[in-house]
Amino acid sequence: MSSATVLLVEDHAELRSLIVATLGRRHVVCEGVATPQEAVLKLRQDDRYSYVLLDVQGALEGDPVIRYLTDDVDGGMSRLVLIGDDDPREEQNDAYSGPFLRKPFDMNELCARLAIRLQS
Amino acid sequence: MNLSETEQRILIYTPRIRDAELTEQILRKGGLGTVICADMIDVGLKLREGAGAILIAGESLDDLGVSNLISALASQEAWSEMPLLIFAPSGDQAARTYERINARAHLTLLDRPIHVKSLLSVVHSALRSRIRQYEIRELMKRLEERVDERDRFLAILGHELRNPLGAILLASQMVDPEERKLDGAHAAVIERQSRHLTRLVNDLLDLSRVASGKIILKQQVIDLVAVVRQSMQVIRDTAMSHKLEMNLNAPAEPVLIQADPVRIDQILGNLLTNSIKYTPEGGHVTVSIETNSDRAAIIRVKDDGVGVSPDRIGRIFELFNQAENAIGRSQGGMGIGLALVRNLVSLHGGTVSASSDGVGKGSEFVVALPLAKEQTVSSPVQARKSGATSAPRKIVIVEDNADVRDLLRLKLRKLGHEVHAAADGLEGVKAVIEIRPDLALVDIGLPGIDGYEVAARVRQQVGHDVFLVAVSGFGLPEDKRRAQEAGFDEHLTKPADVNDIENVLARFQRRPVL
Repeated sequence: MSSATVLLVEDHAELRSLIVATLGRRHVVCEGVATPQEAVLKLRQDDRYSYVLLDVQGALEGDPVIRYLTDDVDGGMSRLVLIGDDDPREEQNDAYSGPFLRKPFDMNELCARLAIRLQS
Repeated sequence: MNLSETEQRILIYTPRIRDAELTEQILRKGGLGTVICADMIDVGLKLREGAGAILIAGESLDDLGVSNLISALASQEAWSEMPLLIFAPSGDQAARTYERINARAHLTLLDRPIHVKSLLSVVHSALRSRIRQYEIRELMKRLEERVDERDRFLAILGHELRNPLGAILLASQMVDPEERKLDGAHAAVIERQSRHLTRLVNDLLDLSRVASGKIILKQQVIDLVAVVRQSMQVIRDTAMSHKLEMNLNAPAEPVLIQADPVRIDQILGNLLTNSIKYTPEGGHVTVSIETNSDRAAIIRVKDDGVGVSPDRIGRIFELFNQAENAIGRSQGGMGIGLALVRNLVSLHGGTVSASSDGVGKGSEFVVALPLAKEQTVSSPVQARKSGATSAPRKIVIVEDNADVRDLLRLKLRKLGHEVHAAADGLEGVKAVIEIRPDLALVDIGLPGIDGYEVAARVRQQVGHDVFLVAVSGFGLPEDKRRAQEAGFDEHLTKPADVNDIENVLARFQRRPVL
């Protein structure tokens, strides 16, 4: 996991800093942005991310990051790990079937999920 | 309640049109609105549109007619049981038909001939019962709205709790593996987010108490300038950490109002917290105080922050309303603070308003409170200290939660106090009697004997030699009264941090022990 890079999309500033710092301690390079729009800009400029960790707000279909990853024919969606309050898999049927971490989550669980994602 | 003509009309159907017209004449003379239906299908259609009652001749109830009627009645909503009046021929066949209809309607069978007076009486009575059903309909609608509101509130509350809890959880896991210590920055995150959660819970509880009329104002004549100055002093550190400049423009002489100083402080605290939250770094928050010709004290809290759009300014004091922008969302907020401000200002007989020139152009909140009739301050405003330090004391902590007990002991010892701890009520009584501390902090919810019993036993044994402080998750006036009756000198509401305890110690007067 030490060569992985993560793009984190999380609007809560303090939580964003903590996730970046904690992943950093585990030798995972993590860049944090506050909004999906900023995330898409970064992805378009230089998409070198092993994972995209996205705090999902609202419907998945409307999210710019999900649209970007869906359009990425090289398996963009397989890099996605969602975090948030409500599990979108419970309501949105086939829209997303990847990993989801409900907040508040344990850092060990996050790292385990990322490791799982890398293997999949 | 205002009902439409459709909701109150009486639908009439008889096979012979002349009978229907005569009936209509009688009902209209009796002040009732009516509609003659062409056939039973028409009755069903108009029933679905709305009606107050239905009056039909029994002979219209052939198989098709009954079937149409029952089908129309079955389509009613749960609150509706349509009053149905039937001029009834007798006979077993009819009885079975009425049984079928009765299951879906409020059925009244009328004999023929019928006196006009009786007919009008029964139709008016049917309409009154229909109006009662409409009232139930409105109650159900309001209840559904309340349930939706509650569900929305719980969803927002869940969201608002998750981010601070997430930050606390992650920060607590940042223990240095070699030194097995948490660094200052992460400890500060835990403290900051914990305080945020505490504020959220306190605001929620206060809002609930205001809504249920449980907040009792302890009004006295106070100097508004002194209270505002004090509120700003407490929040100054927060403003500085956000790199904001905060200023006060106030007259040199006192501005006296009749108010509860704790609640005025709460109003100011919420307005200032709101301005700080929605003002980016480098911004300014200015508070000014003046009086006007209407004998009102005016407090203005103005910021050059994110502002409010015209379509939202009218709803700024409503619950759940918060700025939909990166700053507001990222710092969290349920819009409770401003809703609480409005309620508390209103309790004081005042008004609060908000204005903004639009998004990105700052905002201003204006509170108007009546000036006091008396011109003498009732009592000096108690200085509310944040982190005041006191002389070293001998303290006993009686607390069954090991984490709370250990952390509090550690923190108080760092401040130079001699601290002993007990994990239950019986141990606590023993510790207080043997050690004779200056002060004992006693959790109310203890295993074995509760905190009230601890206080009672301590008072029996040592009298008032020990200053007893109750620490409880409940902070209502009746909880404080109960604590006082049990023998406590003070009451702190959980979570009680070291600053709260230091404030108690600062008020406590005893000869130095150490």
